[in-house]
This record gives sequence, structure tokens and C-alpha cells, in this order.
Amino acid sequence: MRIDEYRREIWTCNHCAMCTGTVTDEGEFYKTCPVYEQLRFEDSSPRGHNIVAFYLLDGSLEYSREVADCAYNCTTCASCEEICKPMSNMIAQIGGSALKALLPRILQPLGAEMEPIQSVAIVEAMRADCVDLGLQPEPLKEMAASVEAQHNVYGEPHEGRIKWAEGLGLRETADTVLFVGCSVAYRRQEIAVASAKILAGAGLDFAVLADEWCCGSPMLRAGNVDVAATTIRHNVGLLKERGVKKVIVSCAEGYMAMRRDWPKFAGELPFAVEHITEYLAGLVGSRKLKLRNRINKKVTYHDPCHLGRAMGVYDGPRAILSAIPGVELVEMYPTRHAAWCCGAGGGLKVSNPELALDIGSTKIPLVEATGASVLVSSCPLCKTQFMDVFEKAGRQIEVKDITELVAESMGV
Amino acid sequence: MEVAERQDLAKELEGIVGERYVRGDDVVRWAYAIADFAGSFFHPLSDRYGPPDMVVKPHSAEEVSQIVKLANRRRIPIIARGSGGDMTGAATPLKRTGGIVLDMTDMNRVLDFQEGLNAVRVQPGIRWGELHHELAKKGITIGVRGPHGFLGATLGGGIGGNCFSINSPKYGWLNENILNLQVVLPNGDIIETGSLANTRVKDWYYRYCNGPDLVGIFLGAAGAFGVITEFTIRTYPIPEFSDTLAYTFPDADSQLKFVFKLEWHGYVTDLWGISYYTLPDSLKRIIAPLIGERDVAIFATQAYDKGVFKAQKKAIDKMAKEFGGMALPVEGLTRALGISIINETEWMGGGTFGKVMGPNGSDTCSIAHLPEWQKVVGEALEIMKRDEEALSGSIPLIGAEHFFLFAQLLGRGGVSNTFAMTPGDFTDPEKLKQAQDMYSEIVESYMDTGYAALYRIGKESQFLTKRFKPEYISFMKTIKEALDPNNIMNPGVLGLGLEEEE
Repeated sequence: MRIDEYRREIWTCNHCAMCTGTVTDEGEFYKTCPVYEQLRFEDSSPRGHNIVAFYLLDGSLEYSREVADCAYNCTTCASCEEICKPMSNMIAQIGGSALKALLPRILQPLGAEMEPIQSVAIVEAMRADCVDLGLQPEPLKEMAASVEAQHNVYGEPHEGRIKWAEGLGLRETADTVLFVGCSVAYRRQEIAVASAKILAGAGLDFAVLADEWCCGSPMLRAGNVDVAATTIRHNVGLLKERGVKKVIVSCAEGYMAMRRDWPKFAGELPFAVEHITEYLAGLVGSRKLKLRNRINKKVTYHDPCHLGRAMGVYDGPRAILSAIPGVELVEMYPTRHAAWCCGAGGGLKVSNPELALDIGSTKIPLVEATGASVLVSSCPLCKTQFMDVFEKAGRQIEVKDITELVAESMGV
Repeated sequence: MEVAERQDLAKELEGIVGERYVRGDDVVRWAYAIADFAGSFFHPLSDRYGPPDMVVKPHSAEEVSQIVKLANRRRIPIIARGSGGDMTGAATPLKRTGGIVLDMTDMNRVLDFQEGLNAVRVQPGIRWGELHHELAKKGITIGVRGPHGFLGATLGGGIGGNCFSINSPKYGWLNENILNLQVVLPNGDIIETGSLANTRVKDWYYRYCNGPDLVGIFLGAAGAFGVITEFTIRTYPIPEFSDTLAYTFPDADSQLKFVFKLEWHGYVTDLWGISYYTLPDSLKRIIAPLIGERDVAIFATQAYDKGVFKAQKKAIDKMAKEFGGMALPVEGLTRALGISIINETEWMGGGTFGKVMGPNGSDTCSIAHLPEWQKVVGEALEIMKRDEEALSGSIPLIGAEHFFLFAQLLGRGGVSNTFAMTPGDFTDPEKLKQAQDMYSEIVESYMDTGYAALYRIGKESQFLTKRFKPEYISFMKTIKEALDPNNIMNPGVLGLGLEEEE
């Protein structure tokens, strides 16, 4: 069983219940687990997953369809891991997200283990076992088949991957590559177009690759490790072959995959990886981004789980939004490391779309409490999810990717 | 329970609470088969515990009442459970009895707060964090902050488990603040206690009226005498001024005298005491050059008025000097950081315990009158040092030792707590067994000094109940038999209802 790799973690979880739900004013958490808040039985909580994994290892339980349902009911948002970090609230209270990210790096050499229980990795290992045993939910099996056949999660023809770039005059080779990912390429082309126009407008010499494949993250989150390995190795091979020095990613999930997962399958990457918000924040800092047009709107920013909690990117998007003339940025509660998940991640929008929408709808009052007319994110999946959530609920809140606002302000 | 019987039971339960709130599949049953933190010494390795037959989520006292009546009719045990953070087996069924777990976490609302009542009416499934958050919006607090900051724990479990709390030295234990209860009795009757027993009273909360105090019998009973479905708890304004102070003392005796006086005068909100000689060598190496081989008291103090606060700190300083205390400059540091080390919420929660203790660690928290602490610790240290090689698998915060001990002032009257952490390597059965035996020996040594039970009042009460006076046990059994003749309410708690097994 693949969960055997996490035996020690599974035994170390002390079932303290912080991950099943809490509100802490000091730590800024609203609740902890979006799935548990919907389903409300222990097997839908991170702790519950760990307990189920424990009894799978122990032999009291065997993998089954029910176990698969339990394992796949998770957005992999890692809010549980954030609250599980030792002394997490106190640290956040003293120094915010920055200290929270920094402290483990300082204390680890002193012998202090500051990492939380790896609840997300445990659930992903359970899913990988489900794949091995043929227990994966059908919609996710189909998604994996799509990636194998067409190299994208939507089953769209691979040939159309950079159809969005038609007429933009983009290059196919350059030291820097804009990697857009499946969701941007096939579902949220407006983000792809905005990203390309911004980079071109900033004077960057960059290319887009027609043979870019799925980043592998949706496969890893869903337990299709072997499919992920193939697609990751293809992408790394392609980027190496083109002699690429830097990859700019316009998708939170793709960025997480490249930084965190790709090296596990393809070794040390010979190119740098930046999320587009990191790149743009750098331009804002050096005053090279020409944000001319005023956008007189009150906006609030949703931290994508795979960009914020997973990768610690919190400040860049805020610096960009604050630099846009006329934009009034208001923070949501909760925010940053404690941000409430949109509900779409971890394959949940595919395997259990109703549950994903229910989770997303719990974000509506949090957004409305800010008084913002625009909800901004920096992840195509979050954008699609919020568009679906607001449409279902009949709310008139505009949803934008951060690149769209930047492009509008630049007038490109 | 046979599959057909379980399906039949599920149908009846669905008729009470609705299909959505009843589960009996294997995954959910096993997910409720562990209900403690750091208690892997007990549960997974113990063949005493097992999964429930059914898990039900009630939403009202009336639903609980109907479930209890059904359980009586079918002679099926009822185990009420909050967030499952207890260490005593109280929220886990015995394998030999199985039962219905009542997951109370959907009964989590704040029902009533009116200015001037100084109390709030709450459902038991509310989590500490949720309650603090709701009350903070009104500028009030219940004073007690929760068990070591495990804000995911529920208040109902705390009441059933006699939970002490951060800030207990000032505000008392959780149960000292409980005014009224609504309880579903084992026969399904719903009663309200104290002033609420009067049919004319709707929202006046007073405990000691209308006859004997029937609240107390349900506190710390872990659901053995009924299921608590509502409770009223005292509230206080949130203190405006707060600081963390620390003093070192030349010896334990001086430190204790200071702590007693501090607590007696009501100046301390929460306090941790550190005895130099109980520290691991790695910490001694750090601490000795800084403050010498002295004992430390670190504590929070609060007030509502700036003038009072200043005078209070002056009085504390005078008290400390009386016993040879030297101030440690933590006050400025914590104020600069904008925190209070002691009385804030979640500093021990989450992964801290797990990562400090390692897999299969367990701690031996128990309570005593503070003067006993040195003696108790001395014995525990001897045991741990004797068998140190059995302790492994832990990842201490600093240093390489596998155990440590410290004390906390837990409540008024010098009630203290002692932690002795005994992590064992689960990958080595022999070492694990040694660590488990060591755990038992330490707890036995605690109990022999007259230590009271802290985490021992659920189904892991054998250390305690064998020291009870026979008349006391007989009295408890009489009450149990009178209230719960079918022995359906959490059998095994405090050893009640386990005659056959014994």
C-alpha cells in the first residue's frame, strides 16, 4: 500500500480535532476543513482520513468504494496542515504568514520539527492506492484517460492547446516560456490572452509551447501517479530541449506542481519557475509595470490554496492590486494562510461537483462582508468555480483573474 | 451487531433524525473508533475498544430523547461524543458492547445571551474556538480558554470530562462556571436544573436553588447519567490590560509560596511553573547560564483598569521579592510582540504534541495539590531515568531527551497539573511495551500520592477506581442503577456497568 510510506505520520497524528473545525481570532481561522463543514461526519475530516488510513494499515479496514469516497472527499486545500503547524496561531499572531513560513526553516537545524501532520499527502496516497485497486471515481478515471490521450484534463484536442494565441504573434522559442496549463488554455482563455499581452506589454521576450502537456498536478492530487510522472517528464524534457531558462506560470496549481512536485519525478529543474504574480510583483516593485488606466472598484482577493498555503505566495498579488490606480483592496476574513477554500481543488469539482459548489457557496457571505464588487483570484480553477457559485446563487459579484485587471489597467 | 439488525436500527434512527444524519458503514464506524489525542497507548493497541454500530447526529434534545428511548428498548449503549478529543476512552465504544455514537457536533449554537444576565446559554457541541469567537463579538468571554488551546474540542466533552483550562487559576475550571443544564436522562426524560426547574422561569440562570444541586451529578460523568443537550455558563467582560510576567526563585519552596500567595490574591490568570531539576539536560545547558539553577514561575496577569493594573503589578513584584524572586524581562518582549505567552489560546495545539512526543507517545497528566508536585515528579523522574532506553520515537522541541516534566497551576487552591511524557516507538513492539509499562507505573505512582484523576475518568479509570473508598463506589453504582437500569449510558465509564468483565 502506498500509504505505508506515511505510516509514521499516520501514527503521529494525535487526533486533537483542530483540523475538524475551529474559529480562532488570534490565528484568523474561520473554520478549518471545508469538506467537513459540509458533510459533518468524522470520515470527511482530515483527522478522520488519518484514522481511516490508520485502520487500513492496521488491517481492520480494507479498501472499498466507501473508502474511496472518503479519500476523494477532500479539496487538498491544506488548511488542516496550516492549523496543525505547532504553535501556528501564536506564530501567526506575532509575525503573520511571513514568520510562519520562516520559523520552521530557522528552528529545524536546532532539532525542532515544526512541520504539521502531512494530511494532504496521506489522502493523496490513499487515492493512489484506490487507483491501483480500480476504485477511483469514474469522472476522475475519465480525466486521467483524457490526459493520457490528449494531454489535457478536459479531453479537448491537443492540437488546440494554443488556439487562444492566434493573432497575438507569439514566439515558439525564447529563454522564457509562458506555461498556461490546461484550465487556462481550454476554459479560461481570457487569462491566457491577458497574461500574454501583459508580458508583451512589459517588453518581455517570451514563447508559448504548442506541445505543453498537463502539468501533472490534477493527476497527482487524484492519485494517478503514473500518468503524472509521464506528463511531468514530457514537460521537463520539452523545456530542457528548448533550452528554456525561466518558466512563468499563469495557474496556481501548475506553479505548485512545478516547484514542488516536478523535481520529485524529474530531478533538479534546469530552469527557474515563477508564478505570474511573482513576476508582475517584481515589475511593480521596480516601477516597470505601466498601470495607466484607473479601475475605480472595490476588490477583494481570494488566496488560491495551491498558491498561498502550499507555496507561501501572499504578498505579490496584493502588491499588484494595490498598485492599480483606483483599485481599493479590502481583505476578507479569513485571509492569507487561513483563507477559506473555493471548493474546487483536489479533483473535487470533477468527482463531486455538487459538494464543490456547496463549499464554494459558503464563501459568498465572506466576500459580501467586504463590500467588494469584484472578487479577484490568481487561479483559473478558482475563477471558474466562483463564476459557477455566484451564478447558481444569483449573485452579481464580478469574478476576475488578477491578470485581467492588470491588462485592463495597462490598456493592452 | 448483525448486518440485518444494523439496517433495522438505521431505519428507526432515520425516522428520528432523518436519513442524512445516520451512518453505519464501515468507514464511518472505524473513523469513530479512535477518540483521543496522544492516546495510542490505549486505543489502537487495546482490544477493549471497537467501532460503534451506528453514528447519529442529533439536532435537538427531543431527538436525543427519542434516540435514548430507542436505545433502551433495544438495549443498545449510547455514547455521546463531541469532537472526540478525550484521552480516557469516554467517547469510544467498548468492543464487547458496541453502541450508538451520538455525534453532538451539530448541536453547536449559542442560544441566548442577554446583557445583564452575565451568562450565556449554549449547546454542548460548540467548539471552544467558535464560542470564543461568538462571544468576542459582544466583548465578553467565559474566562476559561480551553484545554491547552485545543480549540477544536467541544464544551460538552469538557463538561463530561471535568476539563481544566487555560486561565483556570483566575476563572476556575470549566465546570465551576456551569450554572444550569438541560439533560436527557437515561429514560428519555428531558430535565432542566437549578432556576430552570421552575416552569415560570425562562431565562434566569441560577444553579443553587429549587432544592439540591442536581447539576453536579452530570459534571465529569462522561455521559454515564444522561446526555447534556444545553448548558449555561458564566460570562465576564474581556480584560483590557494583560501582561506576561516571570520571576525566578532560589528553590522550589520559595516558588510555591509565591504562587500560592499570587493565586490567593487573585492576581494570576494562568501560570506555568518550571523546576530546574526536572528539565532535560539540553534545556539546563541553555537556561543555567542565563538565570542560574533557579525555578521559574511564568504567568499572566490581567485587569480592567489601567490604574488597578499598575498597582497589581507593583503588588506582585513586592510579593515575588518577599520570596527571593528576581524578575525576568519577558514582559517587555511579549508586549512588543503583541502577545501573551500564557493565556492565549492555541500554543500547544495542533501538531505540537504529536511532534514533541512522537508516534504513540502518551502523557500522564494528573492533578494534585501543588505542594505534592515535587514529590510526584521525583518519583516519575526516577522511573523514567531507570528505563530511559524504552522511550524513543519522540522529537523533542530542543535537545535529544525523550521526556520532560513540568507543572501548571490549574485552578484555585493550588490545584496543579503534572505532565510526564512517555513516547514509545511503535515500530518496536518490545520497546513499546516497555514504554506502556512505564506509563502505567508512573500513573500508579501518581495515584499513590493521592493524586486526583484528570484524564482518568472515562473508561481508562482503572488507576483511579481501585483507590476509591467502597462506600463512594457503592453510592455511584446506586445512582447509576437507579437512573440507568438497562446500563445503556456509556457503559464502562468510571468502571460502572462492567461487573461481568471484572
